[in-house]
Amino acid sequence: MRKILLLSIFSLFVSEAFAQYNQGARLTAMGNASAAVFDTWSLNANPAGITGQKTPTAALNYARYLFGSELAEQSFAFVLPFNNNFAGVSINRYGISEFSEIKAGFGLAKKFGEELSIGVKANIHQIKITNYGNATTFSVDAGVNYALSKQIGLGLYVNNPSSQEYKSTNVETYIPTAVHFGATYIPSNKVIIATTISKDFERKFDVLVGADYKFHEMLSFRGGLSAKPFKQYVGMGLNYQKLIMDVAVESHPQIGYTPQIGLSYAF
Amino acid sequence: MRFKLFILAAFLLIGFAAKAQTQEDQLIKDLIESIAENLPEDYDLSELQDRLTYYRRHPINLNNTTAEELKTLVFLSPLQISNLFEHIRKNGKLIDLLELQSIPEFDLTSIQRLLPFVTLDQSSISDKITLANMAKYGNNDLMLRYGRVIEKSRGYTDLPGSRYLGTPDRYLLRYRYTYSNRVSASLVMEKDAGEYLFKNPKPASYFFPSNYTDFMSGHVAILNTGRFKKIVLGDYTMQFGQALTLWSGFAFGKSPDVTGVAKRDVGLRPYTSANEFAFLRGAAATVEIAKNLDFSPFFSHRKLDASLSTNADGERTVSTINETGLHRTQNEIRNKNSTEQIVYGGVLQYRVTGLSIGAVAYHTSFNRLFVPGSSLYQQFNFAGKELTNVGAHYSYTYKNFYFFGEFGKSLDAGLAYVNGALVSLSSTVSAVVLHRNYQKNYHNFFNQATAEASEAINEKGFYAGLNINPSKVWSIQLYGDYFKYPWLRFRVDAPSDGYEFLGQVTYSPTKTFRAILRFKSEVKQQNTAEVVPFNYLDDVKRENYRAEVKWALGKSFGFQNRVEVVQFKKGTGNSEFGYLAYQDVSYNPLSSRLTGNIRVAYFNTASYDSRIYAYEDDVLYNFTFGLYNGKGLRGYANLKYRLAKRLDVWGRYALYNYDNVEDADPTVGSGLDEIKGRMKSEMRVQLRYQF
Repeated sequence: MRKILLLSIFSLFVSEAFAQYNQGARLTAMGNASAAVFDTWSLNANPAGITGQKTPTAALNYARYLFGSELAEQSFAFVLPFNNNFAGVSINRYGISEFSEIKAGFGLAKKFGEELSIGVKANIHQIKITNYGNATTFSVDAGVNYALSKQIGLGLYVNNPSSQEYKSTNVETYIPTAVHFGATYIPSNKVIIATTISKDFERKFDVLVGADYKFHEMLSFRGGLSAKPFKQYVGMGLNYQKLIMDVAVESHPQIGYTPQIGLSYAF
Repeated sequence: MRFKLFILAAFLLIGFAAKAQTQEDQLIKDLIESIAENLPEDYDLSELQDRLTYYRRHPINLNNTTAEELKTLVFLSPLQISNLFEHIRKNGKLIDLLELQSIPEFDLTSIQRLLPFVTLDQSSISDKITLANMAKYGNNDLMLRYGRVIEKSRGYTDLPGSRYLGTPDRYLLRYRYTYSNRVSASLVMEKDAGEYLFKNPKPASYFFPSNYTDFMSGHVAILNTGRFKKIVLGDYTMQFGQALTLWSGFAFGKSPDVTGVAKRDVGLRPYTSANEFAFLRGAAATVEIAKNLDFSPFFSHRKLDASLSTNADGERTVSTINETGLHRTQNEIRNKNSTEQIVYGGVLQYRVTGLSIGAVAYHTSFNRLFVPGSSLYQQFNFAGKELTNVGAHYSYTYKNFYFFGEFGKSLDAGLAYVNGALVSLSSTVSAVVLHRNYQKNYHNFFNQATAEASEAINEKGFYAGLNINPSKVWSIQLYGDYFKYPWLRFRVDAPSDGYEFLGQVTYSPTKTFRAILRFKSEVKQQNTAEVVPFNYLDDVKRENYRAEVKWALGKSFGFQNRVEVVQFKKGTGNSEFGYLAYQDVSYNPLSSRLTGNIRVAYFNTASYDSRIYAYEDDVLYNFTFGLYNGKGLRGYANLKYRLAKRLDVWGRYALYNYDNVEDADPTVGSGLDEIKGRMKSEMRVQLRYQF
């Protein structure tokens, strides 16, 4: 009984909180307004965004949902640039020991001059419920980034355009099919203002806004908002030579606080 | 490069200066519309307008001013003020106003707004206080206003029970005297509609025991005399820190001007407004007791309006103070001046460049016992006769950061604190964050801190805002606020929460054209409308969409159009909508004695829940946020005529014409204000003589 309850709670929050895969502590702190932002974790957002990496980068991220006793999300990403091409791998695991959802993917992106970049990513999704079974499916993400000027960038990406879903009829979890359009405004090399409008086909429009402020060479402050549901985000980043540590806290009216921490290393 | 910039700026600024005269009223209007978004209906902003009009004639000398004085120009952000002083400290006195351009944070819009109110000229007149000087250089400003609703409302008929005992006329007399920045005095008398004229059963106030007028207020102040920076006798306001511990009068909060949540505390000010509640009465002073250290002691004794009940011991008790200042019916007259309040205390303030720290302590006592209401949500309200409040506030500028905050504590009761930061992220982007936590039993009669609720108690919240000016042409503001009420509230039978979001884009390609798009969404919780054994909470959503354009035709005609839609939804009920569209036309020729403006508006709202507010032009010093509710037409016309050099006359006529066709016996308004028919019209005339 308890397990069924747990499962129904988790599947509820899977659809509520996990509709977007974790985008790392930096993008999360910016309210996930990531459609036009360049980051290693763009792998889980707009795959064209990985073209901002200059050197091979590996990143780890850990998010903890405070309302559950052990509910957490672990993520790993790796991006490898070669010439004007970029390859990336990411793995996400969300859940508790009895229930977990895994998304793993492989992305490729290419830069066409300074303004345009395009990326695609293939994902494999798996849900695992102890003593209950597994379900597996595939999905595709694709995105494009375009720099309108030095200060204004645009980004567009889609998740799962072919509306793939889990074959098993027992699984309520769905793979979101969504379109995201965003812009960044970069008034100086210290500030990024980002916004994204997201439309998941099963939900209302969401509007996301975020800011990243490089207060010091080593220290950045971030904040963000999303409209539906109304969430606030704050975070900061510390970078020391090749090592970057980001932290973020997401505040949801019902779920409460979700802190997360990310570490990445640029080789 | 720098030279070219100056030439360019010079041309721009000369342009502004020439226009400044005619745009003064417009500026004040824009300003009030942008900072006073969530203004309650009856708020009197005349003090602010008075201040700005005064500075228009007596500009602030930027080389000889204080942060406190600059804060009275509410549109300057604390960061700008701080940067200005930093600039003067580093580079010496300003030689030319164009220098403002080189100070961080001073964008063209701010400079444009600031210029009409500042100067660099040392005033040439002597400012020694002598009778001769005061008579020769003093400014007198006398204003008389009369207004009434033309239709007779139910309250003035011969009703058996409660009815309005006085006449439907409204009178206001205001006299104001200023001499340089040394002496100030005022006298205000007011009678609201429905109140007695001349034969008031109760005197206007303790200090003015006259029965000839319902309300009287006045002050005499001597300023800038050696160590005594301010001495005020009579009515005054005290505004310190972040408005959490001691702030009488109105404070701006959340608004499209996202930096408004950082309060501009102006300290002790003489009171000149006609609002019958928001002031202290007695004596107060600000004294420099050591270098950079000011002390402001104050004492106030007032009679307040409250309805009294009798408790088991036969003692007369109070549960809430009535702030409307209306004394029209038998009941209201009985409650008038029924409770005495004595407040005394002091404020210490230490200020050096970039840093300001203050400490506040005061005691409030009443001659009547306060008892909280019997409802559960009122359980933590103030009880007793005596209250002591202490608080501490700070502001600190570090590079491009301005930190501010305040802690307040009512002794033997709750604690409250608010902290925030204003950051200039780049030359085009600034950000604001504000965290607040006000306990449910934080008792304070002078608390105006930033809050979602009308009172800054029982609330926690986090606010973040961005102000982006990517170019001269575009301007973007947005903020989001999440708030939580840990205890019950009126019509909310459980702890609740909610959020608010605002986004605004302004496009102004030329000086005479401006377009604004605004979206605002707010979700709160409230008891369900269903009849159930125990009330559960429903989400109440209110969304506003606004589009506005302002443009000019030639030099004399200005136009403004607005369309606004409100969507209201409670729980699982259907959405309801409210619409407003209006056309404003103004006529302001450069050298004509006659100026004026008109509005024609159409509104259609499903109910009071989807009502819409809009700022309306009015006679000088009067403020109207029109309430558009129901279905019909609203129109008004304002005229101003310069009778003589120092004598101006204003006239206003405004009407609502409701289109409630389905009623056989249509009425407007409710209760004692109910009017038969479909029309409600109002007229106002005002005379101002400056000598």
